[in-house]
Amino acid sequence: MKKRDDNYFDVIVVGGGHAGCEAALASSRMELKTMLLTINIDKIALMPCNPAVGGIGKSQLVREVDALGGEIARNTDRAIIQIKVLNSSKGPAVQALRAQTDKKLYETSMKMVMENQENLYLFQGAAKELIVCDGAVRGLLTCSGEQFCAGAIVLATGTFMGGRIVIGDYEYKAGRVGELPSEDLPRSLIKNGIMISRFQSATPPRVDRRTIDFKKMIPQPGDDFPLSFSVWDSRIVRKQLDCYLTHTNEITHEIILKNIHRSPIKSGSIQSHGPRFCPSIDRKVINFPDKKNHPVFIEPEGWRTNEMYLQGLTTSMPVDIQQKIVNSTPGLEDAFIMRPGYAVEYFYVVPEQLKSTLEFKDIKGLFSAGQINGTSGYEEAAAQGIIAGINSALYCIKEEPFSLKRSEAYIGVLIDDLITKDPDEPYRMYTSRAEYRLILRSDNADMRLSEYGYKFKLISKDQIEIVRKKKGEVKKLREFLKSARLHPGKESNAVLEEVGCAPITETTPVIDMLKRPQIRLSMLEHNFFSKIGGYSSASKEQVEIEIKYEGYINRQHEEIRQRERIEEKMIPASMGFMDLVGLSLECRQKLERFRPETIGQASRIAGISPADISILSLYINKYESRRRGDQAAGQ
Amino acid sequence: MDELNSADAVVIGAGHSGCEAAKSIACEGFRTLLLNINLDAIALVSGDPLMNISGADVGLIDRIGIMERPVGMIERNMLVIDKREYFIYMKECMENIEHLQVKQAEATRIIEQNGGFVIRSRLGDEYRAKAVVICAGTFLKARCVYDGHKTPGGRHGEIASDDLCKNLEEMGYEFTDSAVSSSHVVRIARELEEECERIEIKYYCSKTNSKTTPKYCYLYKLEDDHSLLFVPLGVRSFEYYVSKYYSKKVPMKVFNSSIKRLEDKFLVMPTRAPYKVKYRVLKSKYFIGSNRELSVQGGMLFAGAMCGSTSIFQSIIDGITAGRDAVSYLKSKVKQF
Repeated sequence: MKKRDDNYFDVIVVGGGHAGCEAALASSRMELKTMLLTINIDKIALMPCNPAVGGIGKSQLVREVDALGGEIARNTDRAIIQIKVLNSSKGPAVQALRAQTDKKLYETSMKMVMENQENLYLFQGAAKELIVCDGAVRGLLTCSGEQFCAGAIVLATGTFMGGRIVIGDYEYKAGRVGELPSEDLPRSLIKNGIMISRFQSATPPRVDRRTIDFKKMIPQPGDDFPLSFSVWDSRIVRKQLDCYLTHTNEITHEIILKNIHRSPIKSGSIQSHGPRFCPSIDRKVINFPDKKNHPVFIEPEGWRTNEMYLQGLTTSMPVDIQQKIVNSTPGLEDAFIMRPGYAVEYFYVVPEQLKSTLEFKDIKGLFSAGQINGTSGYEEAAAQGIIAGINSALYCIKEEPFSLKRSEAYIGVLIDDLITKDPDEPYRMYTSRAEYRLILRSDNADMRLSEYGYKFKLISKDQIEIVRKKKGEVKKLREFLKSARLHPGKESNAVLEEVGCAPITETTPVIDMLKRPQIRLSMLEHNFFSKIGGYSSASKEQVEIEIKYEGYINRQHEEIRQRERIEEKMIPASMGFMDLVGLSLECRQKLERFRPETIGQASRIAGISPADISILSLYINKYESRRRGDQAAGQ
Repeated sequence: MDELNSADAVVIGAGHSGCEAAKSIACEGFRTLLLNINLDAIALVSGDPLMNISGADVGLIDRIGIMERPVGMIERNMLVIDKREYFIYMKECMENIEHLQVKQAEATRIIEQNGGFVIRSRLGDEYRAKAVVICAGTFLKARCVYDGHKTPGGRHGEIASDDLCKNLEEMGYEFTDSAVSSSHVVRIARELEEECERIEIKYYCSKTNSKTTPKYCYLYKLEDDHSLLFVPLGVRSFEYYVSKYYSKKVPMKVFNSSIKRLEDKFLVMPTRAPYKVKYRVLKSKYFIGSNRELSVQGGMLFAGAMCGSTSIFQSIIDGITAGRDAVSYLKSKVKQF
């Protein structure tokens, strides 16, 4: 352990949630002296909402963080209660892994990882004020009077900045139930010219397992052959716990409609926006009046607790109405609410002020990650956390910053969307947000991103060797399938007919056979080419997906190539936009506001048309040639 | 619906005394509700993880079942609590007691009504009970004081119960100021470990810690026969609490300067700064006798730190006593009808 001297740290991470943990781990693993400042050291990596990690669009993020050397995947694996593949009947681009986790186990094991991390210092305290000098961050003050100097600071405060809990007509200041919010920090951000705004998020009630009648519900078991999230050390899940499914009914909806005036979204005590994709039951009933029922998943919060999470019953109605809503649902007639649901409203940093490295455009060395950037979900937070952590470290050692492209990773899509769009609700990842989703699959995250993780020393030599070996195998297997031929004959056609596939009349390359939907690689291995058996199942999976979807995948690669020029064309940071003749006023205003780093980013800002983009490119060329000319003249 | 929110007894606060009180009442078959501001903070060891059980008779210790909890022993009367395991264990334990329901609610108002009580929470939900046991710990009008800085809070980062205190004052209860301070929590460097005397803790309970490596307390000898004791916060934790009360009491001045010196030598890395919680305690006139026997004020009882207890074990005993008193009150009520 390096010495902790002079109260100086290379990187200070504010907040010990899912973003903060990844950021602190990344920068300390990059051998920078890092401090994690958290209001309550007993609540590191607490899961305040659902007891689950992953899901559609999110599991890709988890795998990507894992490939970069983050901790969320490994830690989820340590706390699994149940795990299953979602969309297993659909294509590989939209398949997803989702795990139910033991919340306390997740916290405990993450805290152990943090405590054991070389170069990382945990400290309990609340940030009060940032110290900014000459446009760069220098340190911070805490509420308990300490002063720390820092090379870089990562803000990962989650819902704690100006947090306010709302339930029915009642509200009070809190970051989470019973926990003090951070009141001073938002003031300090405003003082430093940072724009903040308000979002809202909500959580459903938890009920006592002993008071649920599971006979009226449909059990939702985990997979028979459970997978794990991390590719590095796969653990075998031995024991799993069931979740359960029930539905609301017309009585539930009647109760909600009768009391809707007491819901904070109607009474006006919540005016900020909540996530549209996980609406409260109140909103679902208002927005979909023709739906007679809504699903409610009952998920255990841990091995050693009776608390059960009611996914689908998110509400911030008064507690007595919550109790009625819960009790009107089949199986929950006698259910006892242990924790009422509630909504929390908080300040987020308007993310257009950030670069794709998550550094503030106007304050050097200041980064922000997680829910503070207007996202929702543990996975989105962790993804931003690792990027902010890597970049804060790179900033300290004065190296080139790191960002991921939309064509490389969901993480790239997430951050690009954040900084080029004006969010009107907390951002959540979806597969549909990624235009290159056939390439950005969760099964190839390690092959896409581990080299970066290795470059930043976040994954070890042994780990990268595994990935390199897999890449080699994939290449070899592909070449073999390209060269191998299947000959027509009684035997081979019998096998083909058996799986409902048209017989062949001439010698056919195996690679073409594999493109037929009925043909699986395992079947070819079993009947014709036992040599395939020598490859690992991970490589076989890769090759099979790549060949089966080759047409689509190639098309996406072609699109990426076509866009490459505009994606990589930088807009000089010193360039002004307001007096560029020929661009619409809206476009000029948007450019001033968002200050995109590349033409690619500019093209995704709403209100900027393709015509604007071509004019802008011309201006950039002109600007740069003039600058080159000035420089030449100067010499 | 109403049935769910009414009980024989409501216990406010799920700290060490609240849990014991609720358990004793529920075990007698009375329906009990245990309210806590935050279900992620049940039976939390906020200060010294050392529990002194000297003076307690074996029967009492057996009855509490203290040996079955996630604690370890360093000597005959000194138990070391595994902070996180203790919380998870006690939460699990409380959740599974028959007739007892744990609920997340911050009680802000108590109203006497028809010979019973209505307890209202900050979020407007109401609970009815024949008896109420208040175990607010250090949360009544609490302020955390750091070296020259003051913030609200019953513990670091946790919201205090100002409204409940105000309500109790309006009901005529008188309070006086009290304070409790928590010590430094640190990580210690290997060099220091080597200079210390190791005292093995035998953790003989808890479901998950049976297979872990042994844990030690580290005793660091200072000059003048004084010593500092570093007590681990748990089997799976690398944080050490610098216990102030061990063998010979170290004068505060010596204590602070030695910590500072060790910090300067980089042998200890602070993870939590020491702070003082200033809070309100009931005036002693509400207690009968010099012991922690609590009076029954028409079904309203108090126990734990808000009555002046200063250690976990005292709070546990206090909670049991209050629970027993509540039971006899409830039984007498039953007889009346």
